[in-house]
Amino acid sequence: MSTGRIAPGPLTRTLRTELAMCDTNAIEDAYSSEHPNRTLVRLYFQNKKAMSIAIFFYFLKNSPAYVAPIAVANIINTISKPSSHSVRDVLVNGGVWLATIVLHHPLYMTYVRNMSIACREAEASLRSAICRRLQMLTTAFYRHKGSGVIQSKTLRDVETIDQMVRGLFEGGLGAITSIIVAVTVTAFRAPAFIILYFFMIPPVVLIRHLMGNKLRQANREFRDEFEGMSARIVSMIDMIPVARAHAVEGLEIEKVDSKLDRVKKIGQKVDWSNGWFGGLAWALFTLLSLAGYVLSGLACVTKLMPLSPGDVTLIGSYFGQISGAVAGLIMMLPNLTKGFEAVRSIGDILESNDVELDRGKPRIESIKGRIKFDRVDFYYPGSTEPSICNLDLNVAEGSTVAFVGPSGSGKSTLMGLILGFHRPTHGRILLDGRDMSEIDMRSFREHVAVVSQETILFQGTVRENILYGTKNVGDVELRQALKDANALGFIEKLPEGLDTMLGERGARLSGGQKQRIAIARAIIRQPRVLILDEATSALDVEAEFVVQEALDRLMKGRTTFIVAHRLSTIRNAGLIVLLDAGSICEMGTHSELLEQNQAFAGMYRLQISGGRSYA
Amino acid sequence: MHQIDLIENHFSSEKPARTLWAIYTQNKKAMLTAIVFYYLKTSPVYVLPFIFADIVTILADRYHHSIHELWRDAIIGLATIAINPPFHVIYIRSSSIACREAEAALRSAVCRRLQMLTIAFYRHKSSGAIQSKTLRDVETIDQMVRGLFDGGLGALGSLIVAIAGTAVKAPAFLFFFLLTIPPSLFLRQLLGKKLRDANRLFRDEFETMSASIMSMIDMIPVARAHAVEEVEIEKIDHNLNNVRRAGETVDLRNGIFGSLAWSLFTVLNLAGYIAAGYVCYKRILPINAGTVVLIGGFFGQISGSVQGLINLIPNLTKGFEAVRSVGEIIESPDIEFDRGKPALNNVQGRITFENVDFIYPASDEPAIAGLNLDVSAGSTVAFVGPSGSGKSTLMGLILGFNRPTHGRILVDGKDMSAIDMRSFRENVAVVSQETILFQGTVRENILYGTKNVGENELKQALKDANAFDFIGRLPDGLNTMLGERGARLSGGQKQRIAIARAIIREPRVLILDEATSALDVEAEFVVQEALDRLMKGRTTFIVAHRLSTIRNAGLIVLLDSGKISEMGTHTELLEQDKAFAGMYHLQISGGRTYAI
Repeated sequence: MSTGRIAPGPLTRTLRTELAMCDTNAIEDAYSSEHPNRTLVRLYFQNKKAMSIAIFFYFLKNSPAYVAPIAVANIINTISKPSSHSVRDVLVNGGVWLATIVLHHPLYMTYVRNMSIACREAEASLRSAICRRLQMLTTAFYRHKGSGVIQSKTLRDVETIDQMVRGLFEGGLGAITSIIVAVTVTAFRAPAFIILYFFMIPPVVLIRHLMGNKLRQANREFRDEFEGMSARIVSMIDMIPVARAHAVEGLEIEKVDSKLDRVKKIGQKVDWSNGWFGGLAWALFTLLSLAGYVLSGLACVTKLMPLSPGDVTLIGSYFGQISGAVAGLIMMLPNLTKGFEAVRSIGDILESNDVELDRGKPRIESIKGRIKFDRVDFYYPGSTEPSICNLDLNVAEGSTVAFVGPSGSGKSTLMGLILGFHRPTHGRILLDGRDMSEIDMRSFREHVAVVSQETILFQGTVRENILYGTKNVGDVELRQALKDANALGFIEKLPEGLDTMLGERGARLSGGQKQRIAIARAIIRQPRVLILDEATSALDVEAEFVVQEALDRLMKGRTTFIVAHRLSTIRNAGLIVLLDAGSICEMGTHSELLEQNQAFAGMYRLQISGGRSYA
Repeated sequence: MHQIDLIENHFSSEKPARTLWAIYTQNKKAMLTAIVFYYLKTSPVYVLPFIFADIVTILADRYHHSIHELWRDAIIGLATIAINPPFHVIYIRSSSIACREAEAALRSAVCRRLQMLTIAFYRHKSSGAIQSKTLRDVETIDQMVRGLFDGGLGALGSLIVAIAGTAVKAPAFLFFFLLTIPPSLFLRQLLGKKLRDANRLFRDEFETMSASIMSMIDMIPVARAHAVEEVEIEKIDHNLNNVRRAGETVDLRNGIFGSLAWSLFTVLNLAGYIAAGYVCYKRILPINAGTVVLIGGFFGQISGSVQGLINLIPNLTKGFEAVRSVGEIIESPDIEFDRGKPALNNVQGRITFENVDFIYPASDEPAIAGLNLDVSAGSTVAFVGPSGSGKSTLMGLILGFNRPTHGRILVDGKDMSAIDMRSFRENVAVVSQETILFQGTVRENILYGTKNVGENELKQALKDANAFDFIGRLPDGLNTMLGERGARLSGGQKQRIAIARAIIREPRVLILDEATSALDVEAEFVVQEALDRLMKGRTTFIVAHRLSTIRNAGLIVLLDSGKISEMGTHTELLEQDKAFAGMYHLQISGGRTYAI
């Protein structure tokens, strides 16, 4: 996995120009999951030139398929009536056919080249648009969708769309041209037989009708059952340690087996109905093809129409072609449905209005770090109770505020508000006196660092993880940051030092080591505002001590917001705020609050005593 | 799911073809019927060209043939087509039975094996990888086998019929078929490697891109907080661009290969027509117009089937890779050996460690070294120590997830390695830091793995777990759905459900692994109260970071690098005033000394 930052240079430039070509914002604006076909046309016609050339050359490259039956028919005519034709006729027809075959390769390659450009570009720009939008969506969006769902939209759904469009070329364009050519040529050589083609329409309509409801229902039922089975297996895999510890492996297997059995039975039902209709369609079309041969043969023998044996072959083979084309079109329907569903599924991301509205707002270049809450209310969407209720608080630059309170009291929501992940429902939050809703929050966040309970490291080297999102950091600065984060010692002991790979296949770090990397990451950024969200609560005593020491160094001179369960860790905060149900219920320094001897003091004593009183 | 063991015994990822054969011919009758009826139902495809050729012959030479022959052809044609639907239905029925049964049996075998693999296996494989093996890889195998019916059997059938038909009607033209062999070999030779390289490159790029998108999604909150969205987008765009380029190369090479193959075969097809036409015209061989059509048609059929067979190769490769991937689970030797060992009845709960060493695979340093400890039934032991000192490893040893490298662990005096650990675990309950609840009702989550629990017992367990009140307030009480789309519970509520789950099981041995460390003070208090009730009379092992929570343990064991460094009651250890006492004071003071 390449996680290295992209070096500026020719590569980046070509990348930019190429991506500029398929303007990603255009995709988002044009995306409409209610009109999937229109959306697809817009998406795949971004590179109009390539797409038009691809379609044009698709028709051209197919020419041998249209010419061949005519040539065969002429050859048959020649040999069935040797007296009125010369051997040259065989060779001429062969020559024409050969010419189309020779032309096929260059025509085909032109088609493939352009089709590939158009499709691959559309695919890349669609994925890029999704990722771009993901980076803009509010964090509330991620609370509702699991990361598995988002992954599947970005990877599998785009793949499905791509497969459908490629299928449309072969199945759709190919079938339509076969039908047009067959009808045109028949109209010239044996116009009466066009009527026979019309006989195909009722069975097609009938099959489509029959297929429509029953098949769709069966397939949907199967999909539901399959998804249920998948979910069951996924949950089984998650539960394996629990199942093992409870010795209920047999029960788990039974549960999965019963799901598998259901899928099997419904799958057999679906196979049955799919097979039934497929078989019926095939028989009907083959019957028509036979009828074409027999009827045109009859017409030829009885001289009802001026048909030659060659014409009979021609009509027969076109019947074959048309029935193949129609069958292909019918078989494409499920693919279309699947593709359209994928378009809708991606729409969940591209059409979500849940984006952070930063565009066009002024950036702030430097900040001091004074944060003021001005009668802030916050309700989570769909909730009737406020999570933050009428909060007033003025935090001077460089000071430290700690928030404590039971779970659900609003501590994490408050951190989200400071970062601009949530926006106040009423009231405002001011940064250095400016309303946060009027500035580009991304420019504010460049001056913020967050150290949370669970540090997320990505697959990459230690260095990449520490320098995440920064540019032009010198080695001396990096070393100093590592020292300040109490991280230099253990990193030097790693097999390859700063270049040791982390992540799934890399070195495993303890919780405390991860936190120290997060702190180094924060120090490098030289933030004005610092958010410590349970930064030490998952650590054991000794690890906590080392991490806390590094944090103390980091906090110096910066506005710091701390959330902590363990009250002992926040004693030296300039201000401790006790939250309850979204409102401030006590506030003061550690000693002030203990002297007041109210809720905070009670909690503190409960915790110091270990939550229980022992004899 | 009868023949699961059969799958496990026959599975060999080194011989994917044989493995597939073994899996898919489990139901021999269905598979055989499917193959026979596949050929029967496709018979019209083979018969119709002869009929069409005959019609053309009749027309081309009207003086020697009567119109009745045309009717005869029509009726024969009709009859063969009429055969198709019933045969098709039989084919579908039996192929569906064979394939679906094989699919279900394969998945079941994977799940069964997953339940048997050691917990160590899960430390090395992410659950995403395991999921994809159970779901996607089995799907790939199924699709390949289904493709083999139409692509493989069909192509093989038309090939045989075309060759046999030509041999009967105009044996001289068999020579032409031979001509197709060198160019197809040549093409394969020429482009095979290039195609494979391009496809592999594309797959690699695609996997890199998938991985970086997944990592990007995980990192979104971090990226947001650091205002580095643009950097992330650029990274992804870079990957997307690589995929695009590799994809274009694949398309191009596939295109060249496909087009050249098509051209070659069509030229041969044309040559067949011309040669047959010329031979007929010049009367070099006694063939008629119908035979010309037939031979031309056979050429088309042969080139079609050869191309079909060639196109099947990537699918086969993919399917075989999937077989190998599934093999990583089914063939993994990493299973717990419980089979055949006697079950342990009536567990009392005395656990004895005798000179236990444990070294993780691929590690040189022991995680547990020379541990001796005798825990009598019903007593409480707390393990403390820095991360990496071996606390969690020790819990894994007690549960039998890890097996001692040297020494032994005894349950009620019996060596754990000689008993079926599943029977021991039936008497164990674990409450860990993170409670895993599954998608289901509260009731299902609490009754997980138990049978015949009465309503009164359940109520009492809820009360003892301090969970009765909050569950009563949930929208549907005990029947409230939990999980992704269900009610969200706080950490403390989840822990109380885990405790109720433990109480219901009436365990003899209890393992509390950081059960309260993720909770806030008030939640901790309620949970601790429930735990105290649960611990009564049961052998209990506690792992805790917060030393204040283990004051009343009968014995506190301080671990350091897998060894016991101090041991005693809380007061004893404080009196000794060594490492434990130091840690305790450090923690009570909040890790720092402040001037308040």
